Amino acid sequence: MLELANLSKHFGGVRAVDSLNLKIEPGQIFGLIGPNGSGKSTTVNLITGLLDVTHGSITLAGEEITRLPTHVRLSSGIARTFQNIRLFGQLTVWQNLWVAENARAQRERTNFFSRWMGGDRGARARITRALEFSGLADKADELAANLAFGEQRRLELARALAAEPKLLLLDEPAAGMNPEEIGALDDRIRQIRDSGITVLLIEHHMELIMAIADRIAVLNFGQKIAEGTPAEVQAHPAVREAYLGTAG
Amino acid sequence: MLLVDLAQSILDGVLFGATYALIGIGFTLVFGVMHKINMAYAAASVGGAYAALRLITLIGGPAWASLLIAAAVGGLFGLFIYWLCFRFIPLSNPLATLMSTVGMFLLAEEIIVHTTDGMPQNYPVVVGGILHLGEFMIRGDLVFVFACAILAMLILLYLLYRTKLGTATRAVSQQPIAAQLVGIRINQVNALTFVVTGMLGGFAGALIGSAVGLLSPLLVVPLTIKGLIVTVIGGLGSIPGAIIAGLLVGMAENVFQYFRGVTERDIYVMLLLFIFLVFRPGGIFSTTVKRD
Amino acid sequence: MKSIFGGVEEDFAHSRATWYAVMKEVAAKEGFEVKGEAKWLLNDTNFTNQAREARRAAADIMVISAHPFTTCGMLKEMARQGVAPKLLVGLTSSSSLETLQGCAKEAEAIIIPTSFAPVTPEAQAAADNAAKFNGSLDLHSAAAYENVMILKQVIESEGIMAKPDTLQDDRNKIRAGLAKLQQTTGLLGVTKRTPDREAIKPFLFVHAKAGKWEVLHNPLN
Repeated sequence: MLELANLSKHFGGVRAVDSLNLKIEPGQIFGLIGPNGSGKSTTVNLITGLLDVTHGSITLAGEEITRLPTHVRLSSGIARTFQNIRLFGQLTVWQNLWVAENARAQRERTNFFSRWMGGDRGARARITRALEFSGLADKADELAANLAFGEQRRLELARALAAEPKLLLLDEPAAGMNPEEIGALDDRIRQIRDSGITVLLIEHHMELIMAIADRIAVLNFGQKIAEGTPAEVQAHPAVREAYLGTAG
Repeated sequence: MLLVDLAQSILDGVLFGATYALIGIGFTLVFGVMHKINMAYAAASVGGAYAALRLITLIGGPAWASLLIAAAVGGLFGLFIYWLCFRFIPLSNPLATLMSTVGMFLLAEEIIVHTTDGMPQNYPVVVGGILHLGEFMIRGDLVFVFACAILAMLILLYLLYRTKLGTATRAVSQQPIAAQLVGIRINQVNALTFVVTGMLGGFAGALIGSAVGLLSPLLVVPLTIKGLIVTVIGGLGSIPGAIIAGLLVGMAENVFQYFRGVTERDIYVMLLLFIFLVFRPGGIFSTTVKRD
Repeated sequence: MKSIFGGVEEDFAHSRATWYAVMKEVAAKEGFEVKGEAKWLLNDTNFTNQAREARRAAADIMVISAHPFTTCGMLKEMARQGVAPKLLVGLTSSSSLETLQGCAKEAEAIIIPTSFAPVTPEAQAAADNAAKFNGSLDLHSAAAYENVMILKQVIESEGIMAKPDTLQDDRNKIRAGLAKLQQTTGLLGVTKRTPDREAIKPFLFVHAKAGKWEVLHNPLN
């Protein structure tokens, strides 16, 4: 689904991401972990086009997207959530999802009127379904800024899904959540995968990631130090050293 | 006589204030969407009216057609200003676009002066007539300007709050990074905002030309200042605020002039601005959307 | 005609001086009833109050001492309010094409004393020359033209060398030459000078007729 080849991002002399090679198979939940500052968020920003690649390439479903602008990548199938939530605070919950219909409009090359004025007829049904999936049906007319923290996270996830992506990037979706909410999140991510969407999950919450990831890569200082199933990664000496500072 | 004259002054002022309101809406809309002031707005609006006047004189046609031509030309000017003064300029630097649009303001004024030798141009009456209500006289053209300002407000509020374009525009203004990630092309949305405000500006410029009866480069600076005052008093980013403030400033101007004479008039208008800045810096009703 | 009312561009020196120091005083001295004046500023666009004052004054003669832009604005508002004085007089600097471009219809019949109109063969030739280059010779450009001609006269009569080493000498000669002049020949005839160096120029009256300035009265004849 997604292939990163020799991907690098340098900030001045700092190699935030250094010759990273990753291959994510379709239908996987792929975990990306690593200590703070190891280059995880930079990688996500490179994939979504918010940062320019220094060198290397990014291929999505066989199509190179390395130099495409962000809004085009979205219509070719990438969506994401943010570690620090970025909702449209002064729009209602419903409008947050309505705006996200743009991706579909772009893909389907709809005419100016249905794209910018009314939006298309199916939108209402799709948005209603998305709200139900996220447990936000009764908050549709609430301003996004007025939602509780957990609700904001769910709305952001729903907004990313509204773009009907092939690949969903989740940047620390469990940050700030209580155990109960994390349990619900676990279920939701599995449902998303089962609906055919490939998930790239960045997470600090080890319990969650070890439980649901099909495959995990570990970054440290911008380089990949290990990759494998959760069990393999946990047993890897380099990972133990990166996290605990000790070998063995 | 005094009361009648005072009432007439208030009435005339409020109606003339509609022209300030129309210009104020343009300033406030661009600010609401991009958090930037387009200093060239009034200059481009007057420029649109000039172009329309020249075209209508060249090819002939009814005076009202000049309003439509001015709107079309104004839209083009809006796009041009966006490309030249915003598109490639770092928006993170608050002074950059201020300077680029001041430059555009001066350029527009120069172009006007050079193409007309600085001569005032007669502008035909679009809507004429005077309504006589007992002692009172009401200018038909200003009633028309007033109606247009209200209509423009309703259309803009509809576009902003009821259409997808408006929702996308507000999304860009609140959270530009996330907006890109839901497939919105920020440059396209911003450019469309400039086209829409430019069309409004051209239309307003032609209406003002017709109400004043003349086009002159002398219109540009006062309209810019009045537009900015109206934008601040109305609350940066508030469209209804710009309308109310426009009418208020027009009225205040005429009433102060009535009581204190023309030489003191502007002092009191500036004092009004000062009072708002100190005691109500958010304007009459501030609905500016903040980046969260 | 007995009464007179003024309209003044209050923030411009020559507009003020023309009304307050010249016309108003002379009018009173000549026995006219001065009914006051309405005031506005150089780039004003709304004249509702001022036109009302003119309407209330109902004077026989209305004098507008302002530039073309506000002269036109005021005239248009007067037309809207139906203010029609028997005689309309304008400020000399408005006797140019600008006023007619701005409001030929409303300015119809306005009388303005001016220092230029193509009434002599020299003036006609200069105006034709200006027209050839899409210009319009009016009181402003004619005065500039005359100034250049005066300099030409001084340069020729004083023997200006215009060499690098005669620069200071040339300057002094031009100054002396200008100071010596007691009268010059302008486009309309001889311009004299008062002891304190004010010019006394020939003048005439023009009025706007069908979108053109026509000579109404020429004291030179």
